[in-house]
Amino acid sequence: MQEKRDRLVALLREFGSVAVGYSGGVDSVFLARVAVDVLGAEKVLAVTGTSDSLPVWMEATAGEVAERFGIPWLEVETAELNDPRYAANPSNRCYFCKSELWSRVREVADARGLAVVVDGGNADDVGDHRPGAVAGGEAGVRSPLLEAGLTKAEIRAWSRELGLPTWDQPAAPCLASRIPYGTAVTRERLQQIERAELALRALGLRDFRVRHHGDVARLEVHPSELPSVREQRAAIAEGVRAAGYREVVIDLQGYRRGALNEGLSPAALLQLGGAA
Amino acid sequence: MSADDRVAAARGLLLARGFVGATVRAAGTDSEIAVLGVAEGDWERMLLGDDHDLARALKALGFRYVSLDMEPLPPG
Repeated sequence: MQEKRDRLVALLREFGSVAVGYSGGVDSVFLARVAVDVLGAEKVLAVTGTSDSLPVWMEATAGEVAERFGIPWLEVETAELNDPRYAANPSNRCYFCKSELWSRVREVADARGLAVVVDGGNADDVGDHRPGAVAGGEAGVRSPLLEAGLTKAEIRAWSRELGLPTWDQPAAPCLASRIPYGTAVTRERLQQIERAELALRALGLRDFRVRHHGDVARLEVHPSELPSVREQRAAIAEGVRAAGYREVVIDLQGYRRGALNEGLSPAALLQLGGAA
Repeated sequence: MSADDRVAAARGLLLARGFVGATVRAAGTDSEIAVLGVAEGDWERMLLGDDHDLARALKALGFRYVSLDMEPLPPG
């Protein structure tokens, strides 16, 4: 792992100055923190794209960590919801969102004289269905964690050494990922999903998704948290219904990454790269 | 397999696994979710049990997702 750490430090030095796409998640927080260590705060800017698709608790985490660790931080509003190609929610939706994000981050970087835009992509992301990465590549975004070969587990371990509170934070993609492909992404739906997820977080759950199926909320909860679901069944159902769902069900297979890709044909998934 | 056929077959699977009186219905915008209903006494066994093949068997009937109603069936 030392070789990978050395490689990351060398890459950042080579870049000289960076604008970090900073969501408040494990990878981008870690990258911003290391970048400040290596380059100094004056050569780093963490940029968070804000819209209704970013969970409010992620935005709060981004701000709190930036303040605590001396990471220069800027929020920019993104307008992916105004793009009908994004709002239609095709399987390559992330491509349009990331295209918007990186264009905004690039504007900021250019205005401030920061040489390279970087993201928190890591070695475990290779091979996944990630149209957003295509947009990053087109925008010239570099992924130093991936280029250094760092895996998610290694990033978590190093984050813990650095005292980052995000070291054990569950993965937290944007709220639009809870809406099945082909169902339009709207502000109202995103806000409804967020209300439901905040209700579950308030009950102590951490690793879960509220999947939106019209007036049905399908909860995917990590198996380790199912005993908590059993103990708080009524409160969970009440909280989710209060968010505006008529019916609350829990998936028997629990939370798994990419569940909404299940049942999509390989051709539909391949559309990502092709459309991008 | 029609939605009704899926539901009937799913009920048979549940009965064979000892979930007597369990209900099945299709939900979601495209009837893509199998929603299972069981009595209070069976709810925990359904959620936390070690029958990992159950969801896979029900998905094989044509459901994309298999879920448990958060509200147990009323007694009787």
